[in-house]
Amino acid sequence: MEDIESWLPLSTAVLHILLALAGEDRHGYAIMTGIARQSGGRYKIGPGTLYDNLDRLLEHGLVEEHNRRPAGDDPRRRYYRLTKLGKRVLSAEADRLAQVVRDVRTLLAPVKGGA
Amino acid sequence: MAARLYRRLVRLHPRAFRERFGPEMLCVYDEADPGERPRLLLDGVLSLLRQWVARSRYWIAGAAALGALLQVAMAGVAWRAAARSLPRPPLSQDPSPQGAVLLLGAGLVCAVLLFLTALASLVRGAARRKS
Repeated sequence: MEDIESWLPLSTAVLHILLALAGEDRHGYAIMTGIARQSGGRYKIGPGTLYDNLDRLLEHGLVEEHNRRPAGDDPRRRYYRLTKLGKRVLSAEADRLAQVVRDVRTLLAPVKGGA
Repeated sequence: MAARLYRRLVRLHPRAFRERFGPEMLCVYDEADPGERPRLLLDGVLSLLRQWVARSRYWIAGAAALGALLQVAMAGVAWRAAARSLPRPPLSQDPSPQGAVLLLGAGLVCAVLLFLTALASLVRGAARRKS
Protein backbone atom coordinates (compact mmCIF):
# COMPACT_ATOMS: atom_id res chain seq x y z
CA MET A 1 0.00 0.00 0.00
CA GLU A 2 2.87 2.37 0.83
CA ASP A 3 4.28 1.88 -2.66
CA ILE A 4 1.00 2.99 -4.20
CA GLU A 5 0.60 6.01 -1.94
CA SER A 6 4.13 7.17 -2.70
CA TRP A 7 3.12 7.61 -6.37
CA LEU A 8 0.14 9.83 -5.63
CA PRO A 9 -0.78 12.30 -6.91
CA LEU A 10 0.38 11.20 -10.36
CA SER A 11 1.95 13.76 -12.65
CA THR A 12 -0.11 14.64 -15.73
CA ALA A 13 2.29 12.73 -18.00
CA VAL A 14 2.29 9.57 -15.86
CA LEU A 15 -1.50 9.64 -15.45
CA HIS A 16 -1.99 9.84 -19.21
CA ILE A 17 0.62 7.18 -19.97
CA LEU A 18 -0.96 4.72 -17.53
CA LEU A 19 -4.40 5.59 -18.87
CA ALA A 20 -3.27 5.01 -22.46
CA LEU A 21 -1.96 1.58 -21.46
CA ALA A 22 -5.02 0.67 -19.39
CA GLY A 23 -7.10 -0.33 -22.38
CA GLU A 24 -4.50 -2.16 -24.43
CA ASP A 25 -0.79 -2.82 -24.83
CA ARG A 26 0.81 -0.17 -26.99
CA HIS A 27 4.13 0.88 -28.48
CA GLY A 28 5.58 4.35 -27.89
CA TYR A 29 3.99 6.15 -30.81
CA ALA A 30 0.60 4.58 -30.07
CA ILE A 31 0.89 5.79 -26.46
CA MET A 32 1.57 9.32 -27.71
CA THR A 33 -1.35 9.34 -30.13
CA GLY A 34 -3.58 7.67 -27.50
CA ILE A 35 -2.77 10.45 -25.03
CA ALA A 36 -3.56 13.14 -27.60
CA ARG A 37 -6.87 11.41 -28.35
CA GLN A 38 -7.94 10.83 -24.75
CA SER A 39 -7.24 14.48 -23.87
CA GLY A 40 -9.08 15.79 -26.91
CA GLY A 41 -5.79 17.11 -28.31
CA ARG A 42 -5.22 19.40 -25.32
CA TYR A 43 -2.32 17.41 -23.92
CA LYS A 44 0.46 16.07 -26.13
CA ILE A 45 3.76 14.58 -25.08
CA GLY A 46 6.87 14.08 -27.15
CA PRO A 47 9.12 11.02 -27.17
CA GLY A 48 11.59 12.63 -24.75
CA THR A 49 8.91 13.09 -22.07
CA LEU A 50 7.33 9.73 -22.84
CA TYR A 51 10.51 7.68 -22.55
CA ASP A 52 11.78 9.60 -19.53
CA ASN A 53 8.58 8.65 -17.72
CA LEU A 54 8.48 5.13 -19.14
CA ASP A 55 12.02 4.61 -17.87
CA ARG A 56 10.86 5.31 -14.30
CA LEU A 57 7.65 3.33 -14.69
CA LEU A 58 9.58 0.31 -15.99
CA GLU A 59 12.17 0.66 -13.23
CA HIS A 60 9.47 0.70 -10.53
CA GLY A 61 7.42 -2.09 -12.08
CA LEU A 62 4.28 -0.13 -13.00
CA VAL A 63 4.78 -0.93 -16.67
CA GLU A 64 6.48 -3.84 -18.36
CA GLU A 65 7.67 -4.59 -21.83
CA HIS A 66 6.41 -7.60 -23.72
CA ASN A 67 7.61 -9.27 -26.86
CA ARG A 68 4.37 -10.09 -28.68
CA ARG A 69 4.25 -8.04 -31.85
CA PRO A 70 2.39 -8.23 -35.13
CA ALA A 71 4.24 -9.80 -38.03
CA GLY A 72 6.08 -7.32 -40.22
CA ASP A 73 6.14 -4.72 -37.47
CA ASP A 74 8.99 -2.17 -37.29
CA PRO A 75 11.64 -3.96 -35.17
CA ARG A 76 12.51 -0.69 -33.43
CA ARG A 77 9.09 -0.64 -31.80
CA ARG A 78 8.70 -1.95 -28.30
CA TYR A 79 5.38 -2.80 -26.71
CA TYR A 80 4.42 -1.90 -23.16
CA ARG A 81 1.65 -2.99 -20.84
CA LEU A 82 0.42 -2.14 -17.37
CA THR A 83 1.42 -4.45 -14.53
CA LYS A 84 -0.86 -5.26 -11.58
CA LEU A 85 0.96 -2.59 -9.58
CA GLY A 86 0.41 -0.09 -12.40
CA LYS A 87 -3.30 -0.88 -12.44
CA ARG A 88 -3.52 -0.47 -8.66
CA VAL A 89 -1.72 2.89 -8.82
CA LEU A 90 -4.01 4.10 -11.60
CA SER A 91 -7.06 2.91 -9.70
CA ALA A 92 -5.87 4.68 -6.53
CA GLU A 93 -5.35 7.88 -8.52
CA ALA A 94 -8.87 7.57 -9.98
CA ASP A 95 -10.26 7.23 -6.42
CA ARG A 96 -8.26 10.27 -5.33
CA LEU A 97 -9.54 12.33 -8.27
CA ALA A 98 -13.11 11.18 -7.62
CA GLN A 99 -12.76 12.41 -4.03
CA VAL A 100 -11.48 15.76 -5.33
CA VAL A 101 -14.50 16.02 -7.63
CA ARG A 102 -16.86 15.17 -4.74
CA ASP A 103 -15.20 17.83 -2.56
CA VAL A 104 -15.50 20.44 -5.31
CA ARG A 105 -19.17 19.60 -5.90
CA THR A 106 -19.91 19.78 -2.18
CA LEU A 107 -18.18 23.13 -1.81
CA LEU A 108 -19.71 24.63 -4.94
CA ALA A 109 -23.23 23.34 -4.36
CA PRO A 110 -24.31 26.29 -2.13
CA VAL A 111 -22.87 28.71 -4.71
CA LYS A 112 -24.83 27.08 -7.50
CA GLY A 113 -27.97 26.90 -5.39
CA GLY A 114 -27.72 30.57 -4.49
CA ALA A 115 -27.12 31.71 -8.05
CA MET B 1 18.02 17.96 -42.56
CA ALA B 2 15.59 18.01 -39.62
CA ALA B 3 15.72 14.21 -39.41
CA ARG B 4 19.52 14.32 -39.29
CA LEU B 5 19.33 16.94 -36.52
CA TYR B 6 16.92 14.77 -34.54
CA ARG B 7 19.21 11.72 -34.94
CA ARG B 8 22.08 13.82 -33.66
CA LEU B 9 20.02 14.96 -30.68
CA VAL B 10 19.17 11.36 -29.83
CA ARG B 11 22.84 10.39 -30.16
CA LEU B 12 23.81 13.12 -27.66
CA HIS B 13 21.67 11.59 -24.88
CA PRO B 14 23.42 9.69 -22.05
CA ARG B 15 24.46 6.25 -23.23
CA ALA B 16 22.14 4.17 -21.02
CA PHE B 17 19.08 6.17 -22.09
CA ARG B 18 20.16 6.28 -25.73
CA GLU B 19 20.73 2.52 -25.93
CA ARG B 20 17.44 1.78 -24.21
CA PHE B 21 15.15 4.25 -26.00
CA GLY B 22 17.12 5.80 -28.90
CA PRO B 23 15.83 3.47 -31.65
CA GLU B 24 12.25 3.95 -30.45
CA MET B 25 12.62 7.74 -30.40
CA LEU B 26 13.85 7.63 -33.99
CA CYS B 27 11.00 5.30 -34.92
CA VAL B 28 8.49 7.72 -33.38
CA TYR B 29 10.06 10.60 -35.31
CA ASP B 30 9.80 8.66 -38.57
CA GLU B 31 6.16 7.76 -37.92
CA ALA B 32 5.09 11.22 -36.81
CA ASP B 33 3.12 13.53 -39.02
CA PRO B 34 5.52 15.99 -40.75
CA GLY B 35 3.65 18.87 -39.11
CA GLU B 36 4.49 17.44 -35.69
CA ARG B 37 8.23 17.23 -36.32
CA PRO B 38 9.23 20.76 -35.19
CA ARG B 39 7.56 19.97 -31.84
CA LEU B 40 9.49 16.70 -31.67
CA LEU B 41 12.76 18.54 -32.30
CA LEU B 42 12.02 20.90 -29.41
CA ASP B 43 11.07 17.90 -27.27
CA GLY B 44 14.42 16.30 -28.23
CA VAL B 45 16.34 19.36 -27.03
CA LEU B 46 14.40 19.46 -23.74
CA SER B 47 14.90 15.73 -23.31
CA LEU B 48 18.64 16.15 -23.84
CA LEU B 49 18.81 18.81 -21.11
CA ARG B 50 16.59 16.76 -18.80
CA GLN B 51 18.65 13.59 -19.18
CA TRP B 52 22.00 15.29 -18.66
CA VAL B 53 21.01 17.82 -16.00
CA ALA B 54 18.19 16.27 -14.00
CA ARG B 55 18.61 12.52 -14.48
CA SER B 56 22.35 12.10 -14.90
CA ARG B 57 24.60 12.58 -11.91
CA TYR B 58 27.51 14.05 -13.85
CA TRP B 59 26.37 17.56 -12.94
CA ILE B 60 27.17 16.70 -9.30
CA ALA B 61 30.77 15.94 -10.25
CA GLY B 62 30.88 19.18 -12.27
CA ALA B 63 29.50 21.19 -9.35
CA ALA B 64 31.98 19.53 -6.99
CA ALA B 65 34.90 20.33 -9.28
CA LEU B 66 33.71 23.94 -9.59
CA GLY B 67 33.27 24.17 -5.81
CA ALA B 68 36.74 22.77 -5.27
CA LEU B 69 38.24 25.28 -7.71
CA LEU B 70 36.44 28.14 -5.97
CA GLN B 71 37.65 26.97 -2.56
CA VAL B 72 41.25 26.77 -3.72
CA ALA B 73 41.02 30.17 -5.43
CA MET B 74 39.49 31.77 -2.32
CA ALA B 75 42.15 30.24 -0.11
CA GLY B 76 44.85 31.57 -2.45
CA VAL B 77 43.38 35.09 -2.38
CA ALA B 78 43.10 34.97 1.42
CA TRP B 79 46.69 33.77 1.63
CA ARG B 80 47.95 36.69 -0.45
CA ALA B 81 45.82 39.24 1.40
CA ALA B 82 46.99 37.98 4.77
CA ALA B 83 50.61 37.91 3.65
CA ARG B 84 50.35 41.55 2.47
CA SER B 85 48.60 42.88 5.57
CA LEU B 86 50.96 41.32 8.09
CA PRO B 87 54.06 43.27 9.10
CA ARG B 88 57.19 41.76 7.64
CA PRO B 89 58.54 39.40 10.23
CA PRO B 90 62.17 39.44 11.17
CA LEU B 91 64.14 36.94 9.11
CA SER B 92 64.59 34.71 12.09
CA GLN B 93 60.79 34.21 12.50
CA ASP B 94 58.55 31.86 10.55
CA PRO B 95 57.06 34.01 7.72
CA SER B 96 53.91 31.90 7.08
CA PRO B 97 50.69 33.58 8.26
CA GLN B 98 48.88 31.01 10.36
CA GLY B 99 45.34 32.13 9.48
CA ALA B 100 45.92 31.83 5.76
CA VAL B 101 47.42 28.37 6.19
CA LEU B 102 44.36 27.28 8.14
CA LEU B 103 42.04 28.74 5.50
CA LEU B 104 43.92 27.00 2.72
CA GLY B 105 43.76 23.74 4.68
CA ALA B 106 40.01 24.15 5.23
CA GLY B 107 39.53 24.89 1.53
CA LEU B 108 41.42 21.78 0.53
CA VAL B 109 39.47 19.63 3.01
CA CYS B 110 36.18 21.00 1.61
CA ALA B 111 37.38 20.32 -1.92
CA VAL B 112 38.30 16.72 -1.04
CA LEU B 113 34.97 16.19 0.75
CA LEU B 114 33.03 17.58 -2.21
CA PHE B 115 34.95 15.33 -4.57
CA LEU B 116 34.35 12.25 -2.39
CA THR B 117 30.63 13.08 -2.09
CA ALA B 118 30.34 13.41 -5.85
CA LEU B 119 32.26 10.18 -6.39
CA ALA B 120 30.08 8.26 -3.92
CA SER B 121 26.97 9.67 -5.55
CA LEU B 122 28.15 8.61 -9.00
CA VAL B 123 29.02 5.11 -7.81
CA ARG B 124 25.63 4.73 -6.09
CA GLY B 125 23.86 5.97 -9.21
CA ALA B 126 25.75 3.53 -11.43
CA ALA B 127 24.99 0.64 -9.07
CA ARG B 128 21.29 1.53 -9.02
CA ARG B 129 21.15 1.70 -12.81
CA LYS B 130 22.82 -1.73 -13.07
CA SER B 131 20.43 -3.32 -10.60
